Parts: sequence; structure tokens; C-alpha cells
Amino acid sequence: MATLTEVDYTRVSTDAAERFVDLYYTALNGARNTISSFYLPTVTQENGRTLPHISYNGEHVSDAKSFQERWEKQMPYTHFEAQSVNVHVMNPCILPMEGKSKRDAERNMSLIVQVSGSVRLEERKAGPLRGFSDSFILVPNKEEVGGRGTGKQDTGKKWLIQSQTFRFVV
Amino acid sequence: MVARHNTPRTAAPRGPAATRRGRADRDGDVVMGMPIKGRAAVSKSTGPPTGPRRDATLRTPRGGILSATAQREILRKAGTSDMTMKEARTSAAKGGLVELKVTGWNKSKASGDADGGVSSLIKWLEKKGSTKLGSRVRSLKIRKSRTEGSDLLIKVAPEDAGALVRMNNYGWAGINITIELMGGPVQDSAAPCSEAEKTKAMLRSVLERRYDFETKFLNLSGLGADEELKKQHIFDSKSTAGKFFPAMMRVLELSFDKPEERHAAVTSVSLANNDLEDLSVVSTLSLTLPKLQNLDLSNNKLDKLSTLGIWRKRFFHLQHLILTGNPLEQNDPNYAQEIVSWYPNLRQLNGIQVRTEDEVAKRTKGAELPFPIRSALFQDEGGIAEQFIRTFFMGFDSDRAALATHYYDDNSDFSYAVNTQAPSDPAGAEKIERGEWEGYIKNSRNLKKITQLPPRQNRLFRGTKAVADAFASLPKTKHPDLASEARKWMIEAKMVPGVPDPTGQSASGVDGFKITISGEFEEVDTATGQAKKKRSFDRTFILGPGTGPAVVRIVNDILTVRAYGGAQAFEPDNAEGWNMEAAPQQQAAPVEAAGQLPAGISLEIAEQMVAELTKQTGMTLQYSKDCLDQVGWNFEAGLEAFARVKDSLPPTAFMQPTT
Repeated sequence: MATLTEVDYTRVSTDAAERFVDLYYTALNGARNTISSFYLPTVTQENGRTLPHISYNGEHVSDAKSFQERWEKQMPYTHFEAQSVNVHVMNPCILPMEGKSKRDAERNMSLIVQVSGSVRLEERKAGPLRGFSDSFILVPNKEEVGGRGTGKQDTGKKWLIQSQTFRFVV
Repeated sequence: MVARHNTPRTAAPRGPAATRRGRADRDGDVVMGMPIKGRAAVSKSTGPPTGPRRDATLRTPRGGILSATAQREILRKAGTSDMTMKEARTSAAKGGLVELKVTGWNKSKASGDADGGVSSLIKWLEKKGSTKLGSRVRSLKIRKSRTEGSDLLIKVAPEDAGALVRMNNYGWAGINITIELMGGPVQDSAAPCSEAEKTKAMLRSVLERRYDFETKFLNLSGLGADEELKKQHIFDSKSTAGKFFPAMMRVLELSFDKPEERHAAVTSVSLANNDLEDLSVVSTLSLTLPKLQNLDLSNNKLDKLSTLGIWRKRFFHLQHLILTGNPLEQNDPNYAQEIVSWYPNLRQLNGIQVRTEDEVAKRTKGAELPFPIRSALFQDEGGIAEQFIRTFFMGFDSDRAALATHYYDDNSDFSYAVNTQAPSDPAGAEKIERGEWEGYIKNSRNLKKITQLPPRQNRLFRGTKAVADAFASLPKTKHPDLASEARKWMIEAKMVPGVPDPTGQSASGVDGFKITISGEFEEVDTATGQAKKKRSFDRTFILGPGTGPAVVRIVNDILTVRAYGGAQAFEPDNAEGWNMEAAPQQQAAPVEAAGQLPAGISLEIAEQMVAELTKQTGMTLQYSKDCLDQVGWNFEAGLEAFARVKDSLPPTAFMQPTT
């Protein structure tokens, strides 16, 4: 059985956060048809609540498809810039890990990511500039957590958004 | 006459009437009645007053310089208003201080403190003196203090003295204290001596004479014809003429403690009749008063649009602009269209409506976004998240070491990141300084800047001790009151699955809370207790079930600190029509729930009493409120009641864990 050191956890979590943040905001800016692929497919938990839970400027959006649709059809130009990114491991071991490899252990944690940045709206350079705060709980893209997996070629997203809270803060 | 268009909803309908009004507005200088080109002496207040407030033109003396009485009147009103034009500083440069004597305090309940209660008295004086009708209007600072026997001698800026004298006989810590003025400015009280001081005083007097408090109008029209300025030969040489306006803007800035007070005090400016060929001489206006709503540039020599170019992308809030009487009108028939496109909030150009309120509302930021700003999404269960937030920030400001042992355990992670590039407050309330982030950078875990694995690892603090040490390295803070300053907070919470189970029974984790908070704090100087810097922050907590003294434990605490960004972004776009989910910060004030306050006790006073009782006793806001409720909102009786029952109160009655 493989166990991860604290440095392993830091390496995995920070690498994942950086990659995720780059891809996610690039998608918001310019690849909006891919937005829903960043989120967990909608699942209902035993307690009746659904995931993913997207809280956007105070509004609860409960599925990624309609979230993406609003971005595609209604959102004007945006240019997001993540100016500060930080990540912690939320749960270091989300499923029992008897006799699994280190590689599996690295994909058996959940992450909490906090982003602070600015977004230019409506118009390049001249549009209004807002400050935002965004935070995510990321889970590995595996069938066990409700994801569809990364595919045979490992091409899909490695981490999916289970929970998000976004706010304009300036 | 710019000022009277402050309320464009009622002014300037479309059609012929609007045109007439436009012509009336050609005289941009009616209010002040300055003797400019022989036209302004006659008041042309043709339109009806636009609001219940009496039109200032009816009362302002005509014929130039206001009388001394009127000046005093303006100053007096400014002194009593929320937004103050400072009482003229006798020596602005060196800041002559006024000394006051405080007596009677040494028999207070705080006399047992190490310093006999002096520091908490000073803190209270500053807080109380800064508060008027429950809202902080300026932050009063006690610059110097010393004790002589039973006297506490304090020095404050002259404009702060009045507020303190008014507090004479106020009750503090169970006794009434006496506050007396020790006489005028005690140092540097001499009349302005240097040339620079004289010029400053002269400019100040020009500004005060040309400022109308009622309409928040600063009339800088016809400066070339101003007798006082003529006497100074300001416009005789090119060099003094060029420096004059920036200097005057600087003096205007110095007249207010804070930019937001300045913005609120001056919403309209006239630069009419100044022979301006371009805006280079007056360009600093847009820096000093960026939030101007009404601007009159009529009867100048502006001959094409490009002469206005430097004010494009300035004056975002401009609602009414007057450009009549400039050659530009003839030279460029399409200038109006262009100007309207420059200023997104412009409602009137030359007195003619160019946009309706609705059109402006639609254009304003975010209104067209598919994610309008709503109130906080706060999905609590059993008040757990709410109780946590109340306790946490109280503890973070007062006793972080105790907080660390209370909420954090060996597996709790804390780290923070500094966002040095964050957009700052649109109102520009805080200045960015060099070395601004020095105290934070050392341990900042911003992954955009910290790219190596070892520092990423070192800047993650795990366990009570590491968290407490990291907390201790951060500047001391004061967060706004959650109840009385709720609008400065944005607090959202929701249940999340998969939080580590400290008992280990559930391998896949248990339900917990994710709490995200954006807000602000003041850095407090540990030596003096003075607030010195305002910043904004975003903080994400993951809470799991607790095993220790608290109901919950912190699994993760991630903090981002950034430049002060104001609280405007938290205001919902449109409160109507939205189905609001529980928003605790709107309901947070425990006093509001009380409903029944005795006569003479306003909500503000009640909130202050609750806050003060909590401060003095350490009880939670709710207990303090209940306590005051029971004794009929008599503060002293509340303290006595607390003293009687404090030993029998449950631990949950107190904000701080008793460790």
C-alpha cells in the first residue's frame, strides 16, 4: 500500500490547481462550449441535495449544462485574469485505499482552490473592470465520485468541480 | 446652474421645454452670482426647485464675495453635516493640535487594567468620537496622550476637538467622565508665516467662498475676474497661472479627511467663463473629483472635441455636462453624439435629456450579465455556520492564540495569499503605498508567484501551533461589526459532502460546511491601538464536525488579502423580484429582531449598547441583547445584571472559549 508524503500532497494539489485555473478561465473567456465539461455531471446525493453546487453572484445554479448555456448565449465579452491562486487538500483520502498504487493515491483526494483576480467585461481594454473571488472544491474525475473518468487515453479533465462559489468583490 | 440638475428624473423633459431650459443654462454661473461679464448678476433661476430642499440661489447673497456671516454659516453647516468640509485648520501644514483634559476616569471599572484603563479609555474616546448617529463619519484619532495624576491629557486635530467636547459627561465603564478643552491650538498656532502657507490660506478662502454647501456646488467659473485672485497677480504670468489650479485642487483635497467625504461634498463644478482653450490647466479636476456628477464648461474657447480628449474615460459618474458657448458647437455639429458615447452615465447634455434613467440603468455594470448580483446565498443548518462566523472574527481580532486552540486541531490547514494586483476600490478611498505588502509577502502562498515546491510546502501551516504562529505573524486586525456594519460583509455558506471525519468512522467523509467570506478589515497598530490601513480579504473555510470544545473544527482556512476594494460590489442589483434565500447578514443584527425598544432608544443606540456590553463582558451579542432587553435597555443595569449572574451563565454565553 502506498502512502503519500506531505510534499506529495502539496505537489499534486498545487499542480492540479494551477492547471485547472489556467484551463477553466481560458474556457470562460474563449471556449464556452466546453464549460460544462469542467463540472461533475449532476448527481443527487442521499440527502436529496444535488451536485455540483454552483453559487454565482448569489444565485444557485444546479446544473452545468444550463450554466454553460447562459455563458454561450448571454454573457458578453469577458477576460478573466487569475491574479492569486491557492489550494489545500480538503480530504486526503476520499475512498478506502487498501493495496492501491501511489498513482491511485494521488487521484484519491479532494481539493479546495481559492482564486482572486480581475475580469474585464464587455469590451477589451475599455470595458468595466471588476474584481472577483472564486472558490472551488475539486474532485478527481472518476466513476466512483460520479465523473465519467478521463477515458482510455486519459484525455478528459483530471479534476472536476463539485462545488463553486463565485462573487464580484470589487 | 449645473447643481440644480442633480435630480434629472424631474428635470429636462424632452421637447420644447427642454430647449428652453437649455438656453437658460447658457449662464453657467448663476448660483454664485460672481460678477462675470456683466451677465451673471441676475439670477436666472427659471426652473422650479427640483426638490423639497430650498434652492440655494434664493438665499445666496448676490454680487460676488459672500459675506463673512455666510462663510461662517457654510462652515457651521459643514461641521454639523455628515460630510464635512473641515473647519479651517489654523495651520494645516504642521497640524496644530488641540489639548483636552479628561478627568474622572480613574475610578472606572477598568481601573484594574495594567495601565489603569487608559488605553481602553482612549480606544473608546476614538470610537465614540468617530460615531455620529450610528455611522462613522470620520475616524477621530488621538494623536498624543499622557497622564498627570488623575488627569488624562490628550491632543487631537482641531477639527476633532468638538466631537470630544460633546462627549463631556458621557458614561464610560460605569462612571461619568469629564472632558474639557485646554484652550486653543497649543503649538504652531501662529498665523500662517511662510509664503506657501499664505497661498494655501488664500486658496482655501477662495474655495470656501465659492462653495455652496446646500447644493454641493463648487463654482470655479470666471476665475480670471476674481478680485482676490487678481490681487495676487496669479494670472499675470504664465507660470503662476498654470500652477494655480493644481494647487487649488490640492488644497481642496487637504480640506477633507477622506476622498469619499470630498466626493460627497462636491458633486457639481462650474468652470464656465474661464477662457479655456483646452483642459490642460484644469486637468487635475478629474483626479481630485473623479466622481463628479455635474460639470459646466460653458462659455470657454474649446473649439474641437480633441480639446476635451483628456477627460474622455474620466468622470465615469458624470450625469450632466454643459458645453454651450464654445466654438466646438459650430465647428463640430456631431459633437453631442460623441460626448454621449464618452460618458455612460450622462443623462443631460446642455440641459437636454440624452438618456433616461432606465437606459442608464440598463447600461450599468453587470446589469446585462446573465448572473445579476444577488444577496448572499447562505444555506446554514441549525445556525452552526452563523455562530461560527460570529465567534471566529471576534476571536481573530482579539485573541488569535485562543482561537487557534478552539477551532483548529492537528490536521487543520491554514495558509494565505496576497493578491497585489487586485483592483482597488472604485471610489479610491485608500492609497497604495510602496512596500505596501511587506508584512504579508514573507508567507504568501500565491501559487502564481511561489512556483517552487519547498516554499509552497513551507507556507502551508498545519496544526494548532503552526496556525497560531502564522496568525501571530499577521498584523493585528479589526473587522467591521457583523451586525451594525453588515453591508461591509459578503458571507455565503453551503453544506458540502466528503469532509474528513475526525472519528474515522466514515471513510468517504461526512457533511460539512463551505463558508466563503469577502469583506474588509483595518490593520491596527499594536502600540497605539490606532487603525492604520484598510484592506479587503476573501476567506474560504471548510468546517467539519468538531471533537474538541467547539461544535465544529476548521479543516481548511484559506485567506486572500488584497487592496481595499470597497463594499459596493456586495449590493444586490435589484432587490425586487428575487426570491431571497436566508441572508444572515441582513438579519444579523440581533437588535432588529427585538422589535420593541423603549422610547428614546433608537436602533443605533441599542446596537451600540449591545456591542459595548459584549465588549465589556465578553458575552455573545445575543446574550448581551437579551440581557439589555431584560433590564429595559439601561446599560448600567445591564452591567450590574451581568455581574450578578455571570458565574451561572453557560459557556455558550461567551464569545471566547475560556481556556
